[in-house]
Amino acid sequence: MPADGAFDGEGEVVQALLRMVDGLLSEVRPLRNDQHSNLPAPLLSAVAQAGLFGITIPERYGGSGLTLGAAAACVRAIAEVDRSLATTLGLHLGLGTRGLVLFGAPTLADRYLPDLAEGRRIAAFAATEPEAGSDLGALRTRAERWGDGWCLDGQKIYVTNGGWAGLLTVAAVETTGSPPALFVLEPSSPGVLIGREERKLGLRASSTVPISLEGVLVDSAARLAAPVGALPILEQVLSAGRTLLGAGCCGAAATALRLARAHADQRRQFGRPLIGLEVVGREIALFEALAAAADALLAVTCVFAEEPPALARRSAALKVYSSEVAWAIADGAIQIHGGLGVMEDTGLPLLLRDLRVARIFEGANDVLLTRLGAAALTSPVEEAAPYALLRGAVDELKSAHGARAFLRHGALHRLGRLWVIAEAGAALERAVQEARGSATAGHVQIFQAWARGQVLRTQEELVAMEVVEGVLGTKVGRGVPS
Amino acid sequence: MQEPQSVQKVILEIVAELSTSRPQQIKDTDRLREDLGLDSVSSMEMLSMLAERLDLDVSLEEAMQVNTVGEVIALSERRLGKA
Repeated sequence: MPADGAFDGEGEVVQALLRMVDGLLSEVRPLRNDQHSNLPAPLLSAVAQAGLFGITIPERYGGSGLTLGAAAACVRAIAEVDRSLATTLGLHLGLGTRGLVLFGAPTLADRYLPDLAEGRRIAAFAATEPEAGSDLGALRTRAERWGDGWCLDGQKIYVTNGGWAGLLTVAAVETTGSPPALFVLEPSSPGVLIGREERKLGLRASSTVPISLEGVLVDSAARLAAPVGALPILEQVLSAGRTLLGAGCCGAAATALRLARAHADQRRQFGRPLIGLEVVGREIALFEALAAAADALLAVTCVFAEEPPALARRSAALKVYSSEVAWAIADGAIQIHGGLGVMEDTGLPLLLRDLRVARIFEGANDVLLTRLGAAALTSPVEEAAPYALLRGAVDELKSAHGARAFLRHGALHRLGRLWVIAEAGAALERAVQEARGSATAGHVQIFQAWARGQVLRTQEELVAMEVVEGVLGTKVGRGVPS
Repeated sequence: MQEPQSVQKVILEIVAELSTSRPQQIKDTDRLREDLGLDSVSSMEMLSMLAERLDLDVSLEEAMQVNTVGEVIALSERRLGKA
């Protein structure tokens, strides 16, 4: 983990946690879990015994009361070995329990948090629906007043942890188009129907099911609500989820990098180790720089854990950057391994399969990029050097299109990309200046060269929309996904 | 040039589209964020769509000053020379 300030004040506790995680991971068999599409019950019991399900739950409920940074450190360490287990734990600590911890009524917290802290219940989060994926404004699951409580009806899909959940947090709307509210309920409640496990490309040992809600009655306390004027509750919960997803991607990237480097050091071709070939050497150095920036961005994101608007923006940038970088490094590690790279026993195919969904779930990357780009137009851009290209692009778009800039979807997407690169670059530079983690000035140089290439690429890719529409033979809609 | 009546109609339609309220439910005094649930991005998107449909020249800075439906209408009418 970025053992570097993400959890100031709890460093020793976190180091002790990580030692415990290390011991636990020595018994984990990710390939076997993947083949069986299941996490063994004794493994989940061991995670519970280690207190990992309660890391972020307040001590008065039996948890450790640690920060999001501490949770990120554990999720990152577990993802180095088994992404399905990391996803299960990360979902529980983030999307699954964050809403209840932050906004649950005392009766609700008393009833469920002790069990959640001890792992007697595992938490799941149900937001996605057949007609509402990235577009959560299209949610159809309804919550209607029923006496003093609520009645829920709707269909949820892709519910991570749903198959073994002891508690569900469900997103539902009270009237069509109203902002989603969150409701906490037990999967054993009458009217809750858990579907069968999905067969997936990756993260096969984690649980993913559809859930149907038919006239499910809950009491009034089951509705979670953020205070008036605060960032909407769904945004706050998603921010925690995206931070932990990013932590998992950082762990996966570290493993891919380690495997690539070990193979390049040991494998000899053309009379020398692969690492001694310029192209391979450059590639692995780039992977090191990209992974160091991901860890630095994770650390910076965790610092903002208690500042919802800042966490929302930074966690989105972390989620996009870390998922893309982890994918690129895993793909590159396979390439460096040659034919061996596609053999399951190396663990690389599993790593790649596990990582694919990270660019999709908890906010598809393209949607997040477009929204980040739109946000860049409405909020001041930082003065630091890594943000210079972003500032220039924002000014250019504003002066060319004024208020109509918000209809330039492709340009917003590009701004979002520039913002993500700037955030990662700034985090890496800060980590080097403050001598945190293993990042070096050389990593910064390599990152900056890569960033310039990325920026040039985004410029070259934006051809006139009329050309795109001509190729497609159809009009392309404008507007920012909400 | 759009008539005032149709300008107001276009504005209410766009606001309704983004907020999912019905045009007839929307009042001039409704605040874009607090009453209609538009966040900063979607309220900017609304003004962007308005500028496009009515062919208005509105700067981003002007758009960011607007808080209510009435202010959107007033800004549009100023730009169209109606006020």
